[in-house]
Amino acid sequence: MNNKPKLLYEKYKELVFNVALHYTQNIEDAEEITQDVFISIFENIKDFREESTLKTWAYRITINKSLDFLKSKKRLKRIFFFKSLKIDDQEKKISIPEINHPGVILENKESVNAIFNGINKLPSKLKTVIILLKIEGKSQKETAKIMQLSVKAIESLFQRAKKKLAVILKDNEI
Amino acid sequence: MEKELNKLSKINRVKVPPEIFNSIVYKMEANKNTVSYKWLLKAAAISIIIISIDLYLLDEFANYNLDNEINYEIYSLNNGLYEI
Repeated sequence: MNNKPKLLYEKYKELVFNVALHYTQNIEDAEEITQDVFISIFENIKDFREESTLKTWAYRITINKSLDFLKSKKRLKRIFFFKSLKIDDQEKKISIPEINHPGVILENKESVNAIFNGINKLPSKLKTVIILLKIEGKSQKETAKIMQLSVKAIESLFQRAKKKLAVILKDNEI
Repeated sequence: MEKELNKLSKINRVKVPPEIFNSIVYKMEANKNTVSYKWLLKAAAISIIIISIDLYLLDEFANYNLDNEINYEIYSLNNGLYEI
């Protein structure tokens, strides 16, 4: 392997790892996604057309890989559903993956975990909009570029996401 | 809601564990081996199919010729074209 992949990795590792972490909220899964994202970047860098910046491209790959990872995890959970029926409640509590985002400050942990619980129940586009706008601090224009949508569409997705999240959080409180 | 969501902006950047790059290199090497192994399997499968088709055709061709010869002899005998 020559030096170029290493340089690419050094430049974008933090971006990729942290975005994956926002989606999965645990280090092990984020590590796995980061590996897959960089393999995909290294394998497809020759086909990269400079219609967008490399950074935007890295964002897109990370988002897609994260969503794919969560989908396959959900599928696996469904397969093992009947197995889990046999496990008693105590064991079930252990097997539920806990939200453990290492970037969350201790004083905010409880409320942020509740928000993440809500975000995890949102459809993928709404989830992505919140992650990019609120956690990654991207502007609507940048988010639009990454998601390949118009700024207006991003605006409306964000409004929908907020409304849905409010309902979910209210239901969870009860 | 906006106030709640603003808490998300206070999430800190997390440092990347140092061992990830080595895992990527290892995974890519493993993928390469899997790819060549898959190609080998594909080539073997194609060869088996070709050999099976060849054997089948050879068998068919041999039977076809034999059948034709027998049929021709019967036809000739029946129609007086050929006498023993």
